[in-house]
Amino acid sequence: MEFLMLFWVFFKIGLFTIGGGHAMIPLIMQDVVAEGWLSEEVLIDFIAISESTPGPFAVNIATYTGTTVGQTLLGGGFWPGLLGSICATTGVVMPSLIIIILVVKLFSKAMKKPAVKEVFTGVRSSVCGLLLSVFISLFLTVILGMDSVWDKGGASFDFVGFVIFAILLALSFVKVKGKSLHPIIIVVLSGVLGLLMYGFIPGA
Amino acid sequence: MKLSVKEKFISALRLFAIFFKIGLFSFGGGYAMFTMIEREVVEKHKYLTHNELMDVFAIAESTPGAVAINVATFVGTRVAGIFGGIFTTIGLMLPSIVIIMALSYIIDLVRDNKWVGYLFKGIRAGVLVLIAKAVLSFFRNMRKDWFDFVLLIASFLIAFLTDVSVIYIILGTIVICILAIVIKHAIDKKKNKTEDSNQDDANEESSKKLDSVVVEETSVDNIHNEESSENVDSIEKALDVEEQAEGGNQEEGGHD
Repeated sequence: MEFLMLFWVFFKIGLFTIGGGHAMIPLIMQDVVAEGWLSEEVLIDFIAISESTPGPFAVNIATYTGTTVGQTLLGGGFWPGLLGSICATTGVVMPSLIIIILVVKLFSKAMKKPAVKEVFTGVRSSVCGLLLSVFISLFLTVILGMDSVWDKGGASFDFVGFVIFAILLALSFVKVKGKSLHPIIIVVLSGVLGLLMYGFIPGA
Repeated sequence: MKLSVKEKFISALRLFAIFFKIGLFSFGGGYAMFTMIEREVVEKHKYLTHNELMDVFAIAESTPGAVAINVATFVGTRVAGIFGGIFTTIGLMLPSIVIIMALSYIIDLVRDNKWVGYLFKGIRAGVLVLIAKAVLSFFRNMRKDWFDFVLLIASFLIAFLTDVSVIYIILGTIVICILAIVIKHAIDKKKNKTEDSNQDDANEESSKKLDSVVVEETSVDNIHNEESSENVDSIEKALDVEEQAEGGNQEEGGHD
């Protein structure tokens, strides 16, 4: 039953992801954390890993979540993980498969109508707002140590984390030969900085 | 093109191999895959032309689902039918599944290590940067219009301050956009008669809409050119490709 849930949750995520892989983050944040499958922090690690392994972000993160959830449900081992990952990835690509096949076979022309495009342009603006909200809540959790905006008690400012964030944000705007830093480089750099700063700065 | 069942099966297998390779060697998904897909699908195997691929990306971007998967399904279905679409999608997914599953075991083994903890603490700050960049890139490619700013701010506030599901926010946006288009269209029809000079933008929109209605009967080529050049424009913006010259040439038909 839980495996069907896994398929269904990722089917919904695939269906409402408009504007590419990153548009998926708000949906994943909400559904996967709400189901109690993963904690917010583990999910952030997954985002990092999905960005720095080959293949589409969406499939990577679905595989990851599926594997972990499968193993939590049926105990560790290869087969539960595989079953979980197959449920999640099939779920996430199924809407694409169905919709694109329909578009190619039937609605190729309709997709090019300005009105259809305009609707999706609007949705992307709203996705921008959703991602901004994810960013701010993650910033609160990771850097300020708060559970939500309303939480004032548990706040513990992670100065080192903030410094790493600031350094990399500045670096991410640097362009070499017209290209900005690749996400993998940002992930690797942040890992190295984390090792050095948390490991060797006393009290960090 | 009409292919026999056997031919279709063979090209489906070949497409599977192509997209397996793309899945294995491209990082980041979506537009990061464009160059790779172009090399394989356009230059090497000539399944599509450059402009057709641009169109495919534009459609893949404005349909639900991950862009990379949409493109794979699209190319597969176009070339070799429904089975082609399924094969390309599986081909694209397979390397990810294998690599990620292997990685997840390794990470489970080392997660409790102190140094791995530091590593991931650093990486979390890095992911924040990546998400910030994603917000910025969505913002950069957004239509800068009061309507879109309202959508952005409203979605942000609802998502941030309430527990309303993201799915309802997106559905709500779709409904509002459709209503807005219908209302705009009705207003334009009335104002078209009075010829208001302040209405440049809206008039352009409405004339485009009218054009698209009669697209089947009249100048199909004309419209197609205009739209594909728009696609080219937006994709090159998103790709951050520095081919301003080419984009400039083709911009004539587009807006903005």
